[in-house]
Amino acid sequence: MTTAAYPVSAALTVNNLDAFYGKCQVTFDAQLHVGRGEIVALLGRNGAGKTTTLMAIAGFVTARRGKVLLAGNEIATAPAFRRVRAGLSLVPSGSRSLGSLTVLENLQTSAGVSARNGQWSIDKVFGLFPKLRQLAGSQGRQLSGGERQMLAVGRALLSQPEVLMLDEPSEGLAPLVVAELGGMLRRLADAGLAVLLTEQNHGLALDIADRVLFMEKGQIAWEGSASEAKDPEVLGRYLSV
Amino acid sequence: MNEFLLQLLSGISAAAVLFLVASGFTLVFGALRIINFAHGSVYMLGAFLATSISDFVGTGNVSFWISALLAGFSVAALGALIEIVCLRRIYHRDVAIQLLVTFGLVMIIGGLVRGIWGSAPRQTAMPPLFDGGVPMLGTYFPTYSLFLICVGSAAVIALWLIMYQTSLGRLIRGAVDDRQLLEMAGVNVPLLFTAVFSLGAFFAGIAGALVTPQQTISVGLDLDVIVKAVVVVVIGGLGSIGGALVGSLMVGVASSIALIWLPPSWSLIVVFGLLVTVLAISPQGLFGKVR
Amino acid sequence: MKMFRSSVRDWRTSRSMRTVLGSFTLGLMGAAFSSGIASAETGGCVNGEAQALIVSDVSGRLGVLGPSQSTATQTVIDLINKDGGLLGCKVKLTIKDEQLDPAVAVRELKKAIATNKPNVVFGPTLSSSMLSMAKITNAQGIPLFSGEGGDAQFVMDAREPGNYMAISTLYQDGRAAAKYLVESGKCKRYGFLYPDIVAGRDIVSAFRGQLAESQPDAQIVVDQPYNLQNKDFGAIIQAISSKSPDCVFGNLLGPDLGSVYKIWNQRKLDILTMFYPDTATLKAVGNGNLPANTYGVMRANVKTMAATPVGREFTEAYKAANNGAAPDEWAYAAASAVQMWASMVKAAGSFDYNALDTAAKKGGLTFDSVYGDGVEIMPNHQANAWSNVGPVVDDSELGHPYWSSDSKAMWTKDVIPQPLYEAILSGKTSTRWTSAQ
Ligand SMILES: Nc1ncnc2c1ncn2[C@@H]1O[C@H](COP(=O)(O)OP(=O)(O)O)[C@@H](O)[C@H]1O
Ligand SMILES: [Mg+2]
Repeated sequence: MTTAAYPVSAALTVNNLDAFYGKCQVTFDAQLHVGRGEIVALLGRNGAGKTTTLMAIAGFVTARRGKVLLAGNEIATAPAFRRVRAGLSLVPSGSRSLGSLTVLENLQTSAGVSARNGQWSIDKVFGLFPKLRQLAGSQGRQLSGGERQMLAVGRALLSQPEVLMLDEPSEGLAPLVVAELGGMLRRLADAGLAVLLTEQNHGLALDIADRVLFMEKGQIAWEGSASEAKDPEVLGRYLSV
Repeated sequence: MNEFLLQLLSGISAAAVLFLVASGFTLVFGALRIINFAHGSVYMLGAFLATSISDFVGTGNVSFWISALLAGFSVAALGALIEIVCLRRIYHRDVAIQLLVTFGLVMIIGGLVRGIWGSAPRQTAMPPLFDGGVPMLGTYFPTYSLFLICVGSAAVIALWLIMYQTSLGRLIRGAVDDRQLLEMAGVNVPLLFTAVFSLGAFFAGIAGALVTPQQTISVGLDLDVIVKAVVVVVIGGLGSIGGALVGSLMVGVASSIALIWLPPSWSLIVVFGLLVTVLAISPQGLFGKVR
Repeated sequence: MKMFRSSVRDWRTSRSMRTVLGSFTLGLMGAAFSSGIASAETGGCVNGEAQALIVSDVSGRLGVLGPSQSTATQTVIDLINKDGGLLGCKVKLTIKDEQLDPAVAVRELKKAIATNKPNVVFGPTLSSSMLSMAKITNAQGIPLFSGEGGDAQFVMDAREPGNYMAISTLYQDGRAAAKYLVESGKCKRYGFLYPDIVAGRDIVSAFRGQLAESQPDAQIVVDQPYNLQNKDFGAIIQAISSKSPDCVFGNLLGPDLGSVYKIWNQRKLDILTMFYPDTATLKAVGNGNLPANTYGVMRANVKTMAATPVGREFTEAYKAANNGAAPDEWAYAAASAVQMWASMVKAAGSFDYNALDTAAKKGGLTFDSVYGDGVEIMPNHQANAWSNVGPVVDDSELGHPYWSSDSKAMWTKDVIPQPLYEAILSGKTSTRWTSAQ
């Protein structure tokens, strides 16, 4: 797997990505791809550039150079909301929700925006997260962290993604919730979704990922299978502080 | 007692117009995070447009509505243009730059109004339906002031419906919470912002048009109204429409009731006293939640 | 005067200035000698051209008065030049915009003096601008003529030898108005509604003063100074009508007055009003929309002035220069200022600051003004103009409301006992104003 050529059928391909905050360059020539049904984990120390990579792919951070192909279509110059409509969803870190909107209203904001005919409906999201159905009338700010994260994933699914990116999805969640979330992501991937997630903590990622990328100082420094990544020497090199 | 009630009613009528202006100002701040000092200029433009349109369509009951709505829609279109051409470029910029740009707009619109309409005062005739006064409490209370109260109440209901019963309102409230998250949900946020700005301008434009039968219109209206709107919105809490309603009522009614004891030159002192008291108790304003 | 002298002394003690001055004088003498024009004397003009300057609110918050004032000033100066000028000099007018802002007025005045020192300055509407400018013109030895601004102060505490007032003052208007209303017998309970500015406070205090003399048992039931920024008069008028006065007085004009008339109509109030109904407002109000019992007081009645001999000539010239647009009251006031100045220059045989003062103080000086022929210049440097008081009615001839022909012209002498200056001084009240340097 280490030297695998990028599959032509990759849902997301990123080449030579140089992302900037103003004049400050954060990622250098970043390359990655995520295939359909594949979960790719982007790991690295705090400040390595993981969030920046996802935000640049999603269109919220300027990429001065680089290609972003979604199902073979170049989207690097499209505004962020068009990328979402084209099938690229991002669940940002911090379990963010629209705090004054109810759970139902949160879901309604992304329902129906997609340009694609997807399978997801609010009812299906409620099927996936029965808890959210009970909380439909509660405001986003009243939810617990785990509930907000479910809501965020639900919102992302409603934009009918082909590629789902999650930035530190397990951050701040109870272990039980993390396990539940991991299982669900695995099932979604098995159903054909391409998943790209970042973690500082390798626990969840290594359990569910097919492939792992280690990021260091804005560059992809290592790529391999999840089992290869579990090697303590590798983990030590890229994650220990 | 009658005197008190009549001052109260006059105050509510003033509050109605204040609310139309302040609600748009607060809406734009809440969603776009821009303190738009040109909001008063848009109000003034609505007023001047209404006088010109009514020169053209006449001053009957129907023409009155035509000129008010036409003024409102023209100003809304201009608002959209302003958002697309100017404001879009400055959302990510420093607050100082944003203030500078909206002040620039104040100057430009002020100059435009003076250039087109000159400095002579203008006004429109009272529509016959609302002419005169309604006998009550031993006097004739201006029918038009009662009408303004109705319009203000209708605006409150309309805004409530828009904000809580339509998808547009849902998105506006979402934008107040977290603009980026909304974009991550695939919402065309730039378009939403244009719509919000345009809606705010529409309310201001309508307010400007609606005062023309009762007030003489002249340049300088812009600054007069923006000062009041800012006070109302700060009292109510920046970004809160309910706050704008309560703030308008407080400012309108307080400055009117104060006239029983104090000359009108004290009204600013009364209003700022109110402002200081509210801010001392609740620094965010009564319903403030933004920032 | 003191400041003027000291600035001259500074000049004389400065070495380089003396050299410059010396060579300049030599050059000037040479020029005068060769051309045969003897104008090196201080009271004359330079190169056959007298410099006049008007600083006025061509733009700014009001922006109504300045344009007609500067146009009128130009019109009268053109008439003077057509008659051969003054003391053999053509008069050249420079117009500066003070934007209704004392600071701008001072800046523009200083700039104009630096580039080309004027022989005379005509001043703006805004009292604060006028009085700020007076400090500079007095120090520089330039006579300053007011057609509107700073009026009460000009004949009171801020008065200097070189300050002249071409029309009646708000003080006199207030007294005339009170006198008229007392004589009408219609008012027992009085109310006041006026902008909370110097002009408003002064006119009302003058009115109160006259009332105390002529109708000691009069009651003042409501006194409503309002902020000039105010646009919504609904609540204010509610508060006034609750006190049920018979008559309401104040110096409202322009947009404010238009709004007040509207609400007066809507509320069907038959309370008598006496405000300052200017032409622009009356045009905006339109025939048929005047409340019952509308009266006015104003320095200048357009219809009357257009009929005086000098007024007729001025009106025609103004119309000819302005596509037929008739002069308004501000234009007439400005015209009067230029006429007053021209008459004084002729009488003094000089443009000089002190020479004009001496001529005025000698007394018996009159001039033909838009207000009528033979208007007297009082020892306090004020033209003995009139205040007009009377009912305002719809005027089919003009197509908009205006003063009825039975409005009463009150000479300042009628309302103020002599000696004028002392009387005003003893009755002076509010003279608060903002200065700019
Ligand atoms: N908004 C920002 N402006 C400027 N620099 C930033 C910003 N956000 C992050 N950075 C910098 O970019 C680098 C990568 O940050 P980030 O992508 O958040 O790392 P990670 O997600 O891997 O912890 C860090 O050095 C960080 O300081
Ligand atoms: Mg991060």
